[in-house]
Amino acid sequence: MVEVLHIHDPELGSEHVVYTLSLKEYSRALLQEAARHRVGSPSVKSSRYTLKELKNAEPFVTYANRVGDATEEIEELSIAAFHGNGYIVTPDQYSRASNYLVMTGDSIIDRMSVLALDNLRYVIQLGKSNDRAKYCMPEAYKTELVLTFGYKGLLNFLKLRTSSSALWEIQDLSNDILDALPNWHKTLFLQELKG
Amino acid sequence: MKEIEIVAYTPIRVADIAIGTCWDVQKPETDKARMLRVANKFKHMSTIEHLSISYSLPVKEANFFLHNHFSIATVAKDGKFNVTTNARVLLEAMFDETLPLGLLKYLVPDEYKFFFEMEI
Repeated sequence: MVEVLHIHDPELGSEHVVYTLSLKEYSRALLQEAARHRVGSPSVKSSRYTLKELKNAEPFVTYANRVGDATEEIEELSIAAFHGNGYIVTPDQYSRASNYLVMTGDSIIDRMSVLALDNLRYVIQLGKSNDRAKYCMPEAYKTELVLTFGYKGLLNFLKLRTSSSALWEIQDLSNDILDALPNWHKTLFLQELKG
Repeated sequence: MKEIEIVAYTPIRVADIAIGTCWDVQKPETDKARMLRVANKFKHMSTIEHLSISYSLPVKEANFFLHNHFSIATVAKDGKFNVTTNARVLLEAMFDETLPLGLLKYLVPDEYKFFFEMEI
C-alpha cells in the first residue's frame, strides 16, 4: 500500500520536485532492494519494536509431537525433535500469519515462511533479546517505511523497477507508486518511461 | 536578508510521520519534543531528510549548496540560483559549522526553528 505523504513542488523545474511516500505491507526482502537506491531517503520501521508484536501471539503452527514449549530452553535437542514428527498450519493460523508476512502464492514457500515466523515467535516468547532474535526474522516479514525521492531519483527507480526482470514485489510497488500519484505526475512519469 | 527567499518547504508533520514509522513513540510527549529528541538530541537525522526546502539565492549564499551532494542547484533567469535541499543538510551544517548561524537563520523556515534550537 502506497500513500503520498507530500509532494514538494516549488515550481522551479522538475529537478526540484521531491516526493515523500508512505509504504506499508511490503516485505523486508523488498526493503533490501529499495535500499540500493542511494538517492532515496528511507525511514524504516525498527525491528526492535516490530518484534514486540509477537510477544503475545498464539502459535502459527501446530506440531504433532513437539518437544518443549516457549517456557523452556531446548538447545540440547535436535531441530527434528523440536519440530516433532509433523505439523499443520490451520486456516486460522495461516490467516494470522498473513498479518505479519508477505505471501508469495507458492504454497511450499509460504508454509516455510510460516514455520520461520513461528520459530521467531518462539524465541521472542522465550525471552531472547530483540537484538538477537531479529537474526531469525524471515525475509517475508512485513515492514513499513517512509521514502523520499527527488524527481530524478524516483524516475530512475521506476525505470529500473517496472522492468519485468525486477523482483516481482518491487514491480508491484512501482505500479502502486504510479497509481498513488496525482494524475498529472503519473502522466509525466509514464511519458518518461515510454520514451 | 532581502535577497534570500524561501520559495517552499515541506510541512513539519511529514518528519513526525517518519519518526513514528521508525521509532516507538508511545512515550507521552508533544510532537515538537519528540522531533527535537529524535532528530537533534539522538542525532537520528535521517528522519528530517524528508523535509525539503527550496530557495532563490544569490551566488554567494548559494555557494555552499553548489558543492553539497544532497542539494540541487539550478541557475535562475535573474542570475540567482534556485536551490532545493533538506533539513538534515542544514542541521549537519550547523553542527559542523560549515554554514554560519548568521546565514542559517535566514535559511531555516520558522516552522523548523525549534529543532535547530533557534529563536524565531
